[in-house]
Amino acid sequence: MMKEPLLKRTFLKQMTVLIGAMLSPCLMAIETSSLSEKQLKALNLKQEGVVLDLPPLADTGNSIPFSIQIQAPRQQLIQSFEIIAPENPNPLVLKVTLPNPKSNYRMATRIRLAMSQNVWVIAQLSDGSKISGVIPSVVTLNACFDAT
Amino acid sequence: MVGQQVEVKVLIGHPMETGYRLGDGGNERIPKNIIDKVTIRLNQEIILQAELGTGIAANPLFSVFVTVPSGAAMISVDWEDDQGVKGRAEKLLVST
Repeated sequence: MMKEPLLKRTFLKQMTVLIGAMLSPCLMAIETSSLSEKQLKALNLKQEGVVLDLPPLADTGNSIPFSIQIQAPRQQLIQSFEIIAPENPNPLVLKVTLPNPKSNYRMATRIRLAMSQNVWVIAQLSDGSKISGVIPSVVTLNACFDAT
Repeated sequence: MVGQQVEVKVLIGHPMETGYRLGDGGNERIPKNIIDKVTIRLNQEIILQAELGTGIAANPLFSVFVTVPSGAAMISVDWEDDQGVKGRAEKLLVST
């Protein structure tokens, strides 16, 4: 009779350790593309090496020219980067992977913004760290939700 | 010209329907149909490998920079949308 509470306690302890072990890797790999503006800011990502060009006032939210220049810090290489528009219904605008990581990269495209917001570019470096850049744009003609 | 960086612009004709637009007098949603994947290569080397979301404008335009290699260079673009439609285009990069 005395053994029962002991077994229960050990069992609970083991379950807690197991659940903890399962949760921690999930917490480590932060899904940046699902974060809000507030949460992105709270990540305190290094704001360096990423130069963005976006018109401060977009003619239309449907097609906004956007250019990116990423320069990795010394001895680092860029493995991938994401363009994130946190206020869009689908915040992950573009994910670029470089199979041959480069020390610098530039590209341009045209994006859609559902409303005025900050656009983030977060780059993953070869040492596992991230660098980022942010740029705002004001949108008067909202994309994504218009009925035309 | 060998070793010089040149800009390569790629324009793909595709409506990039987000799935949020209403058609037919505001009654029905136009179904989502976007390009998912785009790969731009210089010969065998991948210059851009991208996964696109609804946040890329219709008729996706990409501008990338390539370093002109010595010898023949073929720029190729492969794309695939979420309905399984694929496209490919190639262009020879001629250098002096």
